[in-house]
Amino acid sequence: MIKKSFLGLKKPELKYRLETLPFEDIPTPGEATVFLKKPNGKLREELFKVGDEVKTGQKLLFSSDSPEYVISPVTGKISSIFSYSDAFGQSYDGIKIESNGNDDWDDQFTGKATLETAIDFLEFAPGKCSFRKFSDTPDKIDTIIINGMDVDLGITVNQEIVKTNSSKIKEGINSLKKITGASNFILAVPETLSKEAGSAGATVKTITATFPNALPVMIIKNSLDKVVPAGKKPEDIGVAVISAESAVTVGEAFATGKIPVTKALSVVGKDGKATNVKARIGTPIGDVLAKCNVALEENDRIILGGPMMGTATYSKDFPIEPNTDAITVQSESESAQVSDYPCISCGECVRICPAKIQVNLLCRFAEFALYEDAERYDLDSCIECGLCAYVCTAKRPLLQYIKLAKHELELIKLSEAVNE
Amino acid sequence: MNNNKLIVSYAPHWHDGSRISTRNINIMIAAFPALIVGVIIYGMPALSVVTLSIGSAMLAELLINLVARKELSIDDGSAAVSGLLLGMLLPASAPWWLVVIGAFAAIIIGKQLFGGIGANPLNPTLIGFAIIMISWKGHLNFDEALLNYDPGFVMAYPLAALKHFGVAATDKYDLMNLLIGKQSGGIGAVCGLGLLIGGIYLILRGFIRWEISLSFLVGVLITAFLFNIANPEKYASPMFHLLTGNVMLGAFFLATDDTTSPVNFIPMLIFGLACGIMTVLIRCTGLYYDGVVFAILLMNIINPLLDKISPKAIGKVVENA
Repeated sequence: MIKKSFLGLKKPELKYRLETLPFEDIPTPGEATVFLKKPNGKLREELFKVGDEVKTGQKLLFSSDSPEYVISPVTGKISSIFSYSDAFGQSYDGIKIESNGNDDWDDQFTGKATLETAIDFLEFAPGKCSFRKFSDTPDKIDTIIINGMDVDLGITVNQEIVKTNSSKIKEGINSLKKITGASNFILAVPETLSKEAGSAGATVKTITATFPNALPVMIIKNSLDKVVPAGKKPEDIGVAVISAESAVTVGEAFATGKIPVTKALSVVGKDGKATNVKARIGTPIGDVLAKCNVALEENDRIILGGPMMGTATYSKDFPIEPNTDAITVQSESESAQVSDYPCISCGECVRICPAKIQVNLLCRFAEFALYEDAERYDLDSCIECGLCAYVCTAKRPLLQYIKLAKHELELIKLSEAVNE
Repeated sequence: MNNNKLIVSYAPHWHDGSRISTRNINIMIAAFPALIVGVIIYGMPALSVVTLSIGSAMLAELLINLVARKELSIDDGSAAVSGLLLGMLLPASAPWWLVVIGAFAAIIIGKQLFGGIGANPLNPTLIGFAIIMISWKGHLNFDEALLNYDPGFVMAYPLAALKHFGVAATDKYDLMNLLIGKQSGGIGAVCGLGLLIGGIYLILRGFIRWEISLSFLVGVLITAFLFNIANPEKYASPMFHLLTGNVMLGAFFLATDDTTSPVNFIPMLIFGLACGIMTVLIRCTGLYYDGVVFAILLMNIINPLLDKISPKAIGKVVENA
């Protein structure tokens, strides 16, 4: 963890890791776990049950009329189905699939390059790019930004892909052109990769390798000079940001007729040393860590994602998900501790906020459950980079307050809509 | 694999390691140069005033914590800093009861009644000081209080001399002597050089904001300059104003208090500038010799309004514009 420098007058700069590493393969796990999202208040239809045989690439639907599905990453037998709910109370059905060691590919996915096929089969593919936004958005998305950087610190997955696989990105861009009709493609890369990026067939924009410049909203602001209005998504201004990995996934899926099931990720150990690996979706974290020689001790933290925006998990049995870009392991002494101390208005958060939010006022409202007031203080402008809590002198969990406020407001709006 | 317990926490999982206590300890360290000069000039009584002030402030904080059944907060150092700064404002001759009352008023009325650290609208030190200054004028009149001291330089309080006898009376003060602390005044306020060193240290370490300190000094200089060219007989030179009274202490240690000062760039400049202007206005046209205390307290009140001048958040949609 990067500490404040002795001369604290200068704002801290968190640099992205720029040295890229080749991918090492992790063998197919004996048991893969996938999480199927439960739509609110609905019961799962018995479309599959414990003991069913599934093939690699087979779609497991929640119900025949629901859009929620997962793709089985291995061939084998469903060994158990259990309930799981995430940090925000969203419930899932966990499906454990015992692999038989071979890969029988399911043939439902035809590889026909249309948007419908992408929505029907590629939502659970590595990178977890949502294709629904292309059909849901009333105004057409005409610009697609391919993010050649990973949003969080210490991760080099997308950089490595740009470095070694720009031809596959090109393939992906061609497929995306066909299925979405977007005409303007931009590849955002750090300065070091601008040469390799040139051959991908997209306009190359370099981004400064300082956190949080690789966040979608920041890329749009810095390279397109467009601002995403507060509370809106990039697609509302006709822009979609997808990772380089997603682009490669799309290209590969349509070229080979198989849904990719292998996720590329960085594993960052306690000493900050990184390894890039490719693992099946559903592989338990513990397997990956063991392969990368990362030993766990009492009171360590396993973070899915990077240190600024990742989610800590409580079990090394948790699987690799399609959007798990990294596993970061921290020892207890290296981790941030939070306190419930009051805000002293030192203003460090306000001065570092890339979205120029008055974080000190906003979080006071959020802390005392005055969520509507928090909204007036630009809650919706927050890009959730976590820099405010990183510099907070009182060690307040600022990002947590912000996300709590957003979550609670969503619930309030939901219940208002139901009551009307 | 063995089964270790893992800790779950919310993002971000990194922290830059800054703490309120580090901040306050550094403020105390930065106060040392000026304090040492004060103790050398005024001797052990000065040291006892400062230590009594720190101790009383911490005791007041502890008592309030216990009475209100709140978590103990003396370990964050903010009470100690308030006490230290109060001690630095006082003359070495201040009687013990005055120091204790001042420190208790600072912590209890100035801070804890509003809800403790972070909730006080006014600088606690200045509240404590203002209360005893108004209540026991004689003890805080430096000419009366420091009557028995003879450290070997002019012991008349420079600002009192200026007020009563005009600019002609300030000839006996050498600017160099004022800078290194050879003047009458508060224990920690006399040595401008020491305060400057401490202030620069705090600015470089990022514990106070240079915008406030610098604009405070600029505000004093500009206003004093304007008065001076308007009537050089009556109003002293800018440098005289800068180096006397509590200006240096105010600019680097009092106006920069976290909770009671603005956080945005432009408001910080306005805040500091207005503090400086008010200081000289009170000195030149007001009743009091020194205006720093009331200038900062006044600006503390305006602070929340000033912080409304904030940059537009990214993507903010302005309605009715």
